[in-house]
Amino acid sequence: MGAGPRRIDNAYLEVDRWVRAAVGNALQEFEQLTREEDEVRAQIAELERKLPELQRAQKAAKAEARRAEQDRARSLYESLFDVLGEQSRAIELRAIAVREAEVAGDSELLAELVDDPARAAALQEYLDYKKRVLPGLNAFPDSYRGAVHEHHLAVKAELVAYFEDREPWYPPVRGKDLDVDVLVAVDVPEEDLAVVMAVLPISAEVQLKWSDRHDGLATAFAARCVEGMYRAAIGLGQPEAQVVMGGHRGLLVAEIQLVGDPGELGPAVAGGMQAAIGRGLELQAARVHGQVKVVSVDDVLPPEVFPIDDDEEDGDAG
Amino acid sequence: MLDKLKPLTLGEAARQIGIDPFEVVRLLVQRGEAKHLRIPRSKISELREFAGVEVWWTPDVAVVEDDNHLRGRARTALGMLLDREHIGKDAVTRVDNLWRGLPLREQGVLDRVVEALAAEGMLYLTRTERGLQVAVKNKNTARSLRKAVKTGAFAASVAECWEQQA
Repeated sequence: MGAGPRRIDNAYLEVDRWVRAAVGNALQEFEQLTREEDEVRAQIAELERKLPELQRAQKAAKAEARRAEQDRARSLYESLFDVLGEQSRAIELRAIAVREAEVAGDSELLAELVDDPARAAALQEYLDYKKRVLPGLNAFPDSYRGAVHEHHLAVKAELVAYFEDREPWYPPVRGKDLDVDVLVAVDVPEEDLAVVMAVLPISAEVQLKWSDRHDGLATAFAARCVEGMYRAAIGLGQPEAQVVMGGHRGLLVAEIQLVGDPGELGPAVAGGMQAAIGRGLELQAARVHGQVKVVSVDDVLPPEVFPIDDDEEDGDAG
Repeated sequence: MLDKLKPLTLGEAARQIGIDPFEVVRLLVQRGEAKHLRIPRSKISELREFAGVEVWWTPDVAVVEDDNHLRGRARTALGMLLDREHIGKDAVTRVDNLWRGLPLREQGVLDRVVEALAAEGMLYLTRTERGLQVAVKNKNTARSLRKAVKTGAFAASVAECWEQQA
């Protein structure tokens, strides 16, 4: 058989062969891809199995961070109030020394009267009245008692006028300087409205039970702080602002509501307080020095007032 | 030894004026007299007048008889506010004049009564450099308040103040 043109049958055969080869190749590739897909799916399944575990670990890490933050806030809050509590007790102790110095100072004032016999006699008469005159007065008629009492009041009025004319004098206390702190923080309940609060190293009883207490050094320290707050309010053009006082963890807290930029109000009030404490002659004599510090409001409010919101935390993370 | 002859301490001055010691400090600051925290006895009446402090609850006050003691206190205090013609924002008085001299518990109730009446629009409250001041809002509210004082019938929010304490 000689060579001739290709036959139709051959054309079929060739095309079939080419198609079989192409299909075979494609199937091989398909199988390879299927194997790869299976591998990827296996990996995905493995990762999905691990995911909840990772999420649990992630949440635990976040919770730990929150705990650490809250622990810091609580530790700081408790530590600040503990320190101020210690300082308030130190002021109460110093107040005893001040009282002793005042009594000693009274003796010195009396000694000064040696050169003023008439006044010294009046003072002696005044001091003798309750001790020696009053007990025996009942034996006398009303008219006599009234005259004696009237005379006593006249002597007292003369002596009161004498002591009022003198510049008050604060007998210096012997001993070391006593350094204490005052914390000032600003809370902003509304825009442009700030509550400036001051935590004092003074027992809350100084204000809460003032009518039952002898007001000594602790009252003077608190008074100087309040003076500074009012001076600051006047300086800020808000003389109507009112200092409100109360207790927190046994310490005296003074608050004043002011309008303005919170970033400026805190330092302005702290500055006013610092100046008033520094000027207090009775504090100088008692060797008590107050340092006013502006701190974050988070440091002086209980951590539960500013709890860290779990949802908010998760939202931020997401 | 000389305490009764020397100028008064803040607490002593506060007792004599009828305000808190730290309110005394405020007065001293406003008068430029805070150099010393000792107050001459001769200044007490001046300070009291400067602060607008008045004592309304004197022994001869005509107390309103009422089954509810605290409501009686409120009716008496509000009656005194009206009788003294503290009506309108130009006729204010220190808010604590309404209860000065009463026991602390009763002072607290009257304080809440004032707040409730202010919220009801009957009283006018204003912060000043001499403390919180109060007046009956205007002549119309004065008529309504007078009627309430006479009958003892107040808005529920006001009545709550003494009912909570009962």
